[in-house]
Amino acid sequence: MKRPQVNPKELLINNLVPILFIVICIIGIPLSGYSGTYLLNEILSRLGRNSFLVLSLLIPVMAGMGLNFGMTLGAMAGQIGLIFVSDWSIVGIPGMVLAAIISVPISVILGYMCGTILNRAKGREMVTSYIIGFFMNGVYQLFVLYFMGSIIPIKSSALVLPRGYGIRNTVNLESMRKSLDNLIPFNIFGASVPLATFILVALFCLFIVWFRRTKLGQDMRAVGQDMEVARQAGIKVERTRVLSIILSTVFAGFGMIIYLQNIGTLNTYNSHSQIGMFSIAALLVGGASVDKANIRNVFIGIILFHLMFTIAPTVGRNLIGEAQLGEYFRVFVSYGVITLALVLYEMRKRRAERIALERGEEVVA
Amino acid sequence: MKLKLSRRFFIRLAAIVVILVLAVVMFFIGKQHTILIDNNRAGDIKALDYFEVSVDGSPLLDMAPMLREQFLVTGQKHTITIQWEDEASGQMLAVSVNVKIPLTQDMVLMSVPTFMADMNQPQSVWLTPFEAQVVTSTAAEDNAVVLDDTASFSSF
Amino acid sequence: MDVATIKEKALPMIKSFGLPRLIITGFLLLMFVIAPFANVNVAAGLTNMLTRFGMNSVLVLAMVPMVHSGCGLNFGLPLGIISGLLGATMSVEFAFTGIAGFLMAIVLATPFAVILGAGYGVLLNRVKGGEMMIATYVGFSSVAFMCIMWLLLPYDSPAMVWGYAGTGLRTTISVADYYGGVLDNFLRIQIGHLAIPTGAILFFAFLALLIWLFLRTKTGTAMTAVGSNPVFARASGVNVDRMRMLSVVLSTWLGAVGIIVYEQSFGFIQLYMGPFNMAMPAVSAVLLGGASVNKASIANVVIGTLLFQGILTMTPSVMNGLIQTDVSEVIRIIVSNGMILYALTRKQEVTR
Repeated sequence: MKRPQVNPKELLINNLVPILFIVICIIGIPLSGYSGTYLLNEILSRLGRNSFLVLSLLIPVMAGMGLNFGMTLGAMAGQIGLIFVSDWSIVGIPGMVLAAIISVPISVILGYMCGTILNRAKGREMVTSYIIGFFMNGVYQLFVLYFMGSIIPIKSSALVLPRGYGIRNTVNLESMRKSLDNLIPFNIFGASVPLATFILVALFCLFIVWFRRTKLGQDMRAVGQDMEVARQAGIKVERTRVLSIILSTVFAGFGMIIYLQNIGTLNTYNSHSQIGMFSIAALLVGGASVDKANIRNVFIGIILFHLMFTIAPTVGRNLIGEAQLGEYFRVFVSYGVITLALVLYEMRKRRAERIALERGEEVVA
Repeated sequence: MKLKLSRRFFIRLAAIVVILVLAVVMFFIGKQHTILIDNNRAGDIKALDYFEVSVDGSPLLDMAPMLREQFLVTGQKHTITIQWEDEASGQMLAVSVNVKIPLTQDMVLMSVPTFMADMNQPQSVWLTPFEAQVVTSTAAEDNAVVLDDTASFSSF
Repeated sequence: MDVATIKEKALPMIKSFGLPRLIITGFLLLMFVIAPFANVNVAAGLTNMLTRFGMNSVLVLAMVPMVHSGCGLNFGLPLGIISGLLGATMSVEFAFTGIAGFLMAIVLATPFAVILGAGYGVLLNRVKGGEMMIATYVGFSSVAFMCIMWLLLPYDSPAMVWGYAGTGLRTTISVADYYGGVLDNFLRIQIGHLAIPTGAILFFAFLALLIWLFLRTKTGTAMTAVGSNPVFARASGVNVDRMRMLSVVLSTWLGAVGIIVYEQSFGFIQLYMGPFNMAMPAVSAVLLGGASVNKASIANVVIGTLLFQGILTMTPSVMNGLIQTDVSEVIRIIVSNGMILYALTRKQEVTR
């Protein structure tokens, strides 16, 4: 929705978060003392590993379900796929593909569950999906820490805890590390470019662009605009919403596999738990809001957010002599950004409602 | 729910079959095996004084008696090349042998002395399954995991 | 026919009690029944449960005012906890000991709780309808912000700062020499293995009584009116925003007091990421007690805390005795978040 005239104050408020981040980065980069090559390398690598995850958030926003904090479910599914693949010692690209295939049914089941629950909590999807993430984390722990190796067959002693069941704290993915990133070697200005990963990300972007134009994509946008109007137009609102969450969960699972092949180790009980928060923060930093997000927001967001993430510890050490301070700072900024974006969104929504109400009253008068 | 045998159903079925086939193919081509090349006394056959070995064209490795080297390979069919100096003529001789590792076998051990004693023996004589030792422990510190979800902040 | 009438009578009862609550209560009773067979001392289990009730009940009580005024579940509890931590650390810094240390911690925490709570209230008034998500993130951001402050604030009591650097507070600070156990050991009753932390329970009863009385004053009823029907409340001349803000301040202050009570029993002040996940257990405890997103009473707090802490203390010991496996952490996560999910998806709450 484009406004007829652009008010500079409104423009500033609507883009407050990205502007704030640009300022932080401009001040921070000289203070960090990092070289351009290092930063470029770091940003390219982080763009590669995070883009897919952040892109997976776009579909639920389209369906008006807000930021899908339930993407951690997809991350869990991806991790379960990777655990199986490591147990069977399938390595490299085939391992990633097989992990992705395994993750799909798990993601679909989890996504279906999440979507169905969210249909019962219309209007508070975000807080509900957030709690679903926590809840499923408990179920994930039950499966991975107690069932795997006892009920679910996992035989590799490198994976199973010495007590005979449960997966170890970390799963080594060294045999898969950067297998996608380095599939097509490519360098620019002395920085290595994960070209194959970027090609996958580009394909996903094309998919999203295409998906918006399909019948289902149109339905989702209609549901996102106004559920009741959509329902009257004959769209199965509940089904459409569930589908949007399933798609997001499946893609988040793929995203997690790509993310972990870059990292090279899976922290069995931690890797997934913060991924939703950081992906959402990155998307918001790119100028997205709860009801509006596009591909441009994803890339701008990742670049700005991860630039801050990379430089914060060093800036903290150089300024105050504590790297820990920088780490806390970036955690604070991640949470702060989400808070700020949510507050701005709610305030804008309320103002729009008030204006609509006043207009309605004028009509009545 | 009634099963409708429509075009859409068959397309979906075909897609699922294709994905399952893809999964199986990935399993075959991505399966990693460990080949242990062993130069130890095997029964009555004593270790070789010296040879060089390469798997699938990797750089040659020197093998003295009592050595055991490990090679990580993916897929099931591999070529192992062995070079050694012929005592009589002083010439370097080489032999290449194709091995097929069973799909489910994570680790195999090739006893080169057994192989060199008679190259015409079947593969099962000199290439045997190998199981790594598993250490079990119920001590709490060995089984500790980090469940705290605030622990991953700095690792992101 | 008999069965049918029983069913007819039982169903509404189950419905009003809530199925999850029934399951949890049954589970807890089961734990107590199995306990002797798993070589677990029931009296020791009860002692644990009561101690933890004393520890946590005030934090759960902090949910009540905000739910009453319609601000939803107070996921922003960490903000109150931070005020409490500021008071607690300052009380240690000024070296108050015993009951004076405890009271000074509360007194010193109060201004922070009022100021932070007021700011938080103003914010929540501007985001009506989206309170819970924003509350969660306000809590998280404030914890992260205070992580920075704990490193920078000019504390220098040797009991609290890192020994080698001389600055920056430690992650955990012992309050044993200051106000550790002042409530728990006050009029403590000891019968064999069973110990009752009378002081802590009395303190909770005192605060609960205050809240109960407050909710019956003119202001208190106005606050409840704002929560149950804001349009009607505004029409009858109640300043909705002021009432909501007052409830947030009250909740924040109770959170501050709650964490100080928690510390005196636990024996340590936990800084940095410590308060991070403290809202969830309190939220789910009050829900377990039968509260919903817009209705909560003192009885809900008492029942909920007892049930929740009972599960937490009994499951690990019974499970350990039976199958030598500690699944309590997983059960805690599933029960507490399952409770919150149940409350968020209940049909009747959507009307607000």
